[in-house]
Amino acid sequence: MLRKECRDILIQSFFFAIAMAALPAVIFLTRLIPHQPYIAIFVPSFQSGLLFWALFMGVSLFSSERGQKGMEYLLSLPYSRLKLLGLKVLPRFCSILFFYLVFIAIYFQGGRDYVALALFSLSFLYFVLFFIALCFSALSDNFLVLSMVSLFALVVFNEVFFLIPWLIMRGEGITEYSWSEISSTFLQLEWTAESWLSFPILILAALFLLIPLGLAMLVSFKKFDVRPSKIFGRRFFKILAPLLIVGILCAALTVWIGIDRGPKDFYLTRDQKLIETTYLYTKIYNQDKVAKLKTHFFPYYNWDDPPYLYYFDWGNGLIRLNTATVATEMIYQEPPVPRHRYWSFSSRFKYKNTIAFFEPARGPDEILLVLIDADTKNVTRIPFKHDFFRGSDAPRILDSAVREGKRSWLVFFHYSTKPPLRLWEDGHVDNLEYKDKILDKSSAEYFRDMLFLSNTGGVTILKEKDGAFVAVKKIPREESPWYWMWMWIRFLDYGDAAQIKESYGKIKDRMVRFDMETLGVEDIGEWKKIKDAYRINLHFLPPNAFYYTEANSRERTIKVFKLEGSQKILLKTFENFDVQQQRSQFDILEGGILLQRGKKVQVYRLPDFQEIKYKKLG
Amino acid sequence: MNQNVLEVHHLRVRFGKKVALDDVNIQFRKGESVVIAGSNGAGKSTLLRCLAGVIHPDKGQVVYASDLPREKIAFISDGLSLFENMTLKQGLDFHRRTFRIQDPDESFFEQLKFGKNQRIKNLSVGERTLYHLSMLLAQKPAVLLIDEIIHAVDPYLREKFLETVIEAIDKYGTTMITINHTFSEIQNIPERVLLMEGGRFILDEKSEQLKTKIKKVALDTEIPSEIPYVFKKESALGKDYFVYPFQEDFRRKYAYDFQSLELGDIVKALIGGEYAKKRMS
Repeated sequence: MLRKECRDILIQSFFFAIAMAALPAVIFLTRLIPHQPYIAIFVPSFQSGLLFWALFMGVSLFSSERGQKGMEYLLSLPYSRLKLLGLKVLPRFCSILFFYLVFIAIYFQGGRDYVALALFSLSFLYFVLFFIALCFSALSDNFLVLSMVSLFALVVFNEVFFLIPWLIMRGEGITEYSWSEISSTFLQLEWTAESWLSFPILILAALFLLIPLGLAMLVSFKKFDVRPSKIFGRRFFKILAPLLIVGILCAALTVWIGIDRGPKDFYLTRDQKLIETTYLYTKIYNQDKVAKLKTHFFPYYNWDDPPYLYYFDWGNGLIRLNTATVATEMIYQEPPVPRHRYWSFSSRFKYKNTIAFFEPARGPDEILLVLIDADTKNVTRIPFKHDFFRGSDAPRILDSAVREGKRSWLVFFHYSTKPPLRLWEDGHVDNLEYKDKILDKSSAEYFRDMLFLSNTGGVTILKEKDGAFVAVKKIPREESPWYWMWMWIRFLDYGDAAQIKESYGKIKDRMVRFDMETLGVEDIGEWKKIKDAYRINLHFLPPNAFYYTEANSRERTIKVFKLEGSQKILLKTFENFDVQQQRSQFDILEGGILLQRGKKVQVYRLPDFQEIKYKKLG
Repeated sequence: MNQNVLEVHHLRVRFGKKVALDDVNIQFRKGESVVIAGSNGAGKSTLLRCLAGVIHPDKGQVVYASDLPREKIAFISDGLSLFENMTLKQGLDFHRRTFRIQDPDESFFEQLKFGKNQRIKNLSVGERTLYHLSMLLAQKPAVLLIDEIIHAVDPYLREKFLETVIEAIDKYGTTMITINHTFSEIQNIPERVLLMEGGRFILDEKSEQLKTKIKKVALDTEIPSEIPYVFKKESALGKDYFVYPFQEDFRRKYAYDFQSLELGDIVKALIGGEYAKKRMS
């Protein structure tokens, strides 16, 4: 039986593989989708094909026997029903796994840039759809009916799956997002443990919703026979209904526990207040007391200006938390989003006491610059009009200065070929052309009156001359240091960073120093790679302090170095710290060093590394 | 189980609201050949499918003898269900592997002049019946369950088919349970006749006993109330009464010509009687 099933699935898989290779090739060769490389057509096609394959493999469990009028013969074979089910599912699962691994290989061999569905979302949908289709495969003799039912069940599953955390989070007052916004987010984004609910909790909740389906299938399949499928269906749903209620309750409980006891993020303010945040609360630890408030902020989108902690409540506005009095106030309310723009406010730019960011305006080529005075909380909006503002990309402010007695802002569209614009407080917009055309999409930073453009060709450094940017130096890609600019984004304070003298980064496995005055690159030693690519071991504390950390998983140590000129000075070695341990965190912030080993959190003051003790912490 | 290869306890099967088997209890002994008769919808095929494991009863159970492995139960449905996209060779190989047939008896298969590479779906109904039967006989079955299929085979092959089945029953001590409406060719096979109606057994007799217990008498008048009958057949020529249970005293008391019947006619009369009861009710 297994041999027959394997042969059948192998033949079907072969034809599927041929179709998956041929269909994009036909689209590519006939130029149905012009100006796209083959891989750009192949990867999304393959993703769609995979979902179809998961559905087909699931619902076709008995379609071959039904098509050949062989059901009675099949059920008269000397196998128990569960063994029969196992024999039929095993080759299908192998095929599902095989094509998934093929996709993973393609994904990591350059396919990730062309995906239509994020890897996690695809993986989740792929296996869930296969499982659902399998569980429903005995409910009808009609292949099309089964496909429709399975797809409908997937939609219902998806909605219930998101309804549970959404209801809990709405109940706790954590999110203002609508249910549909959360479920559509799921389809668009890479899901990591740092997302709005942790990955293991979501998987567990999904399992609680799926297990009843599997159990109902297993139990009812024990009595599966040749009688009309609606008899089987009645038994299946009779078993499923109570299990599903239990499953939903378990999923809800899991999500609630997950949110309540789930991932904690920590942040250390400049005045050494330790902030602990989950999705249900925020705790502010002073050395001798702790305050708790029912609010949540995401540590990577906030900044502090003691005693205030600012954070964007996405979809709501900008909130200011007084860490001394534990009072929050909304200093900016987000307006309704015009239909032609999906973003509502861009990343902020703080210059002295003014917080600036953009807000979409009514006209498609219009934009509003929002200025908030942090002292008075006065909000000023200045409208600007320019063709560059058409489209959905939010511009970023690179610099702010006072020129000719007027305030101006230098803005840039990330990953575009558009040159920067200068916006004046009187509503006037200056076009700042490149003297030599920049053809590649670039990202940009602006320091010491220089524009640093990074793109696939490398880094181009430009200076403004007579209203145009002129290249003063080009560094080819292979000689361009990595991490040397974008790491500052996290430690925002451009007013200070504008005067920066140097920066550090890496070229291959070497650490380099970039001199902002001479624009020269200097090799200063080995760069030890941390396996987890998301951890950057270079830390910048404005205005001019650089730290470098070297983690060693085997020795369970982390060494902290200070970078001064071309010197790498070892300051301290922290023992018993495994960078690869789950929920480990090592951050060098302006308030000091924040170190998390699992549930244990410690804070060290800089530069003397004196541990700061917090009462009631942990 | 005491020589019983199969025992059926309180079997109940429903098709939605319709009860197909209603608290059925029966035993089948090793080596006996049984024919199950009954009107359409009486539950015969459902019972056979329960015995073959194709239908799981809603209540009750089918108990197999401890020395009877599932591989020794052979079943042909009236739909001649097989994986018809396979070639004859593939089908045969598959059957052998699945039923773990170590030493297949292919004598019957060899008599068939089929090309082994043709697909099962291209066989005629008669050919397919013989092919299917040959596969089952190759597994030397301990229990052979045959739904109403013999009518599809032409007279020559039918005779061959029956000879082979009889030979196999003798050779392997097979218990054969068959459903049949056309008794003319098989009346010498069954040792036991079961009659089903409304999902229950209404008669369970040895063939020979049944022949002595049921007689036909043709009369112009109504039959005396003392003589019980199961079926009355009226025609222009007169009335045929099928007397059951027949007693020899009836011959002495009444000067009627009580005629013996073939098994096929007996079964037909019993089924006819059930239809008549239904009409009356």
